[in-house]
Amino acid sequence: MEDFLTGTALLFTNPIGIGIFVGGLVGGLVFGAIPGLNALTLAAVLLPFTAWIPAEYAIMLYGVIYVSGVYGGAITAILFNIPGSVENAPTAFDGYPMTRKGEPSKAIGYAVTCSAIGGTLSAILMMIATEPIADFAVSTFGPIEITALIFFGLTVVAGVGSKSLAKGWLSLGLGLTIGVVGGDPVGATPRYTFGTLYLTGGIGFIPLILGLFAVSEVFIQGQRLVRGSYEAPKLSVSYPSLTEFWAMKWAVVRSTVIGWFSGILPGVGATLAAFLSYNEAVRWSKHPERFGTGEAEGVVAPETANNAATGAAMIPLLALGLPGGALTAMMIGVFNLHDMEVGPLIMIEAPELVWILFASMFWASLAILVLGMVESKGIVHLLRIPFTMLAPGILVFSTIGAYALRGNIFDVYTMFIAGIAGYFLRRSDYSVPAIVMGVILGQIGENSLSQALTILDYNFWGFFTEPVSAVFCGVGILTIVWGIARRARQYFGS
Amino acid sequence: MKDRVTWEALAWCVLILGAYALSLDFDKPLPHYPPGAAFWPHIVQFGMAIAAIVLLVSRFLPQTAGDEAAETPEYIEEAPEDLAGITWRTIAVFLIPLIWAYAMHQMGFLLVTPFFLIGFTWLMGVTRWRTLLAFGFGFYLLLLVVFYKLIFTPLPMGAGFFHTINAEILAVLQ
Amino acid sequence: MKVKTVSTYAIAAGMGLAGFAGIALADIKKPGDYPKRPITIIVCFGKGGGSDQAVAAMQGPLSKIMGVKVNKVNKPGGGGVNCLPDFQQAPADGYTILQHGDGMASKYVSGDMDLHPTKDLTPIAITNVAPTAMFVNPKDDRFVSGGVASWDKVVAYAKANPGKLNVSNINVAMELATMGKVEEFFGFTTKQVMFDKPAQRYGAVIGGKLDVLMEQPGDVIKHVQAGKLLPVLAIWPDRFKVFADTKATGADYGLKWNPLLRIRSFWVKSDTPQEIKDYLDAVFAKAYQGDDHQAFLKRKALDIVNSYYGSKDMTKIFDDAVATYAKVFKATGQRVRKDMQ
Repeated sequence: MEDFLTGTALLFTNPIGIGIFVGGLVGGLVFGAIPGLNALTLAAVLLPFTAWIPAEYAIMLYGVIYVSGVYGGAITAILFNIPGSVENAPTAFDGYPMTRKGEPSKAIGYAVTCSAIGGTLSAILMMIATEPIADFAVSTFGPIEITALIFFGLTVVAGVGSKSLAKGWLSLGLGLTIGVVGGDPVGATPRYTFGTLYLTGGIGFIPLILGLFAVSEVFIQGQRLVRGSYEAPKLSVSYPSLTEFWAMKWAVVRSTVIGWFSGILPGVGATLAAFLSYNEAVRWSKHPERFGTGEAEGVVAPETANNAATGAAMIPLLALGLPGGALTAMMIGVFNLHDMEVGPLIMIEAPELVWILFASMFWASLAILVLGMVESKGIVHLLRIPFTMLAPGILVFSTIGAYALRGNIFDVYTMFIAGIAGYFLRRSDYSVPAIVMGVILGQIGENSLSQALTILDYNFWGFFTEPVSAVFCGVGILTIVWGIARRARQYFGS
Repeated sequence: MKDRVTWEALAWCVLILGAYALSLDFDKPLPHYPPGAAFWPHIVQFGMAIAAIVLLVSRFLPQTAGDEAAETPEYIEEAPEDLAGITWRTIAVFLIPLIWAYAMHQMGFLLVTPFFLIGFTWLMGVTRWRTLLAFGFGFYLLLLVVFYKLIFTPLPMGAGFFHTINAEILAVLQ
Repeated sequence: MKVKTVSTYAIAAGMGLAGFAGIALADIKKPGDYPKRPITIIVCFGKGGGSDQAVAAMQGPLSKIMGVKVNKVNKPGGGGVNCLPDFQQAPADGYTILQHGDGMASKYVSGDMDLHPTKDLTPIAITNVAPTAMFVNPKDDRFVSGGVASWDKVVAYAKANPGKLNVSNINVAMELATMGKVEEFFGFTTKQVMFDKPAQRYGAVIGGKLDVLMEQPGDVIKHVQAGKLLPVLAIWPDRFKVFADTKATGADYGLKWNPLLRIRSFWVKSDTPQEIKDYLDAVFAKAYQGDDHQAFLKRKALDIVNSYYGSKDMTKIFDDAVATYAKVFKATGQRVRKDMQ
């Protein structure tokens, strides 16, 4: 508690500190709200500048951008079907239909409140548990366990987003195949690169997401516009009532728990949190058929979970130097720019730095509640910008976002080709989320599979003799069997 | 509908076979990893092949009520029927961004972006020249200020001669 | 696994510094009006990593000496080859500089890219050189007693359990060849597990999942100071001053071999005008010497060996490196480009 107060004091007693805190908060929200750009773009372009501000403020800035960005990404997901980042993808499933129904403000209201609740609870847990949990995580999760966990994640993802089991798995397979492009994780042997060096680094998932969601949406609405069948979404500024919130209490609790535990896992963190939480919301719901048509719980679940994952993601990051995603990876860069290595030492070496980060994430989560409520009333007016001008704007911002991360022109091509693919895929029963998750989990999964197999002397049974991995493999297999059994029951059962 | 499923399943088979054939190029054991670079792709292709066969077989199964009210939620948007068929405008909407991306790579972001902005806005149905120019250059100016002046974001510089022109403009902006 | 010859890749400790001391700013002759606009350094690795830091540390001093802005552009991916097409697209006017490292030699030999590091490009300067060491978990009582890690115990364990010693390593030719040499010299075989992310590579040993870590001391020095890792072997002729208790392959075991090194260095296109190349050679030497840059090297433990080599020495080093990697790759059954087979 004392540490937390010290951190808070450091944060708010200096005008520069307050300025950077507010700047990060507003920056994350604004970049999150510009279709095509996201907090990641902001974080990437700001990175070189952090070398010139004191270390504690630089780290704090990234903590605040992280928190506000994860929420900010929900705004465009809801308003334009353009998730700011992968972890906001499930938010679009129900958030965008809510906008089409004329309830954008309500959806944003749910998103902002639940992001704030998830983020605040997560920040509290993070302050209590970072040290003990980090030690447990590093000694429990090696390549074998991470491989098993990703296998479990894949079995879940295959069931998301398609009515047909076969099509779900084919979508996932397509994603995994896209993830294979580039050098293999062991020998860097070029695979499916067709002789160009641009492809040796693989296909980035940020351009892919921008293409499948943002660009394809522009293409679809653009086509409607040129054919005269475009309908601008209706505007309303109604906010969810307290009764409506109270009805969500279990969804919020469940999603916070899921989000927090997923967040601890390096590499899959917030994304897995959002997808798992959405899936669980569907599974526990009395009306699963309403999901995808603008069900509020479909916004509540992923938004609570992905913000709950932000605090948890700090645990492996700070204690082990293991980032959960692109933004947390950049935070390692911020530490490095100030000649500090994240890792077991950081809690001893720079406690004030860690606590200012913790305090800033806590206060940023609370501030989102206030700022977000105000913003949700105003931000929907973005929908008033004529689509004729919004469309080229989205494309230009998306292009800058896709290119700026790696400086690779193929990322721009990938984005536009994914946009065309998304245009056609969205009219089919194939699952866009499964493709995206296939790319992300496949890239991490193949890496840890090769490490695990080397350790296990290429014996697959080894995955079942290690207790933690056996549990994940077992649950994964059950998930597959359950999916098949359910389909079988539909055909042959009652 | 059923024919469509057959065609889709066959398309998947072609894709899987193609990926398998291309994987033979790198299907060799690695010094520190005997399964080799093609091991994982082959697992994926095997799984996809099973799924494609299931999809093909499902075409011959009777449709059941379960298909309509499947427990799995429906996340996807209703098929936009109004977008059936492909016109020259559809193709233009797809092609113009790709041409812009290629031109940006060859001639630099700074030189080609105003043309893209004006061209795409025109395609979206704005035909008044004054609006087009005002929006195109206004937005371009905003980009210059934000991404070159406020926060330096490295964007494509083009090749050879165009690289030099872009660099000279950049020097002025910076 | 046999590595027959790894001896030609020589950066002997004494070589290189001749003619380096005392370059005054006034001595550097400007070639015409160059540079008149900002210089771009393309970094082939991600933001925040070792290469990025090496460039960031040079950026200020270079800009001060040349009197123009020096922009750093990161183009990561593909183990450092994604950046090359964009570098090749830029004109050979000295305004675009490439930052890369020992990977330019090994990736050329493996055929992953076609740019010869001294024929298609002109070396300008090496600014970071780091040797390699082995580390274990301090809690691992197989190898550690009384707070001291014993390489002899590691060797005894590896010999008693052939192929069972797990090494946490990275799939980079320099590290693989070095590990191959260690295995050959000490007469055991290991199981190498490849990680591309440093955090996972260290975490596997810190968490007790793997036995031994191979890494450059500067990258893990904080983990060592925190008591999470313990050095067990310096792959170097002498013991490192920073780890005086840790045995070295040369002084303690008699291995006569010029070790492979992690190098970070700069290039321009080979058809860049000669006077610009000479100017950059002098400018880099000057920037390297500055107090700020020297402090950076010290903080990063990059001062264990001499870290600076100018254009001429760098050319020789990379010519040697290409020859050495070709031999190593052939001996270890790795990919070798067609025209070198």
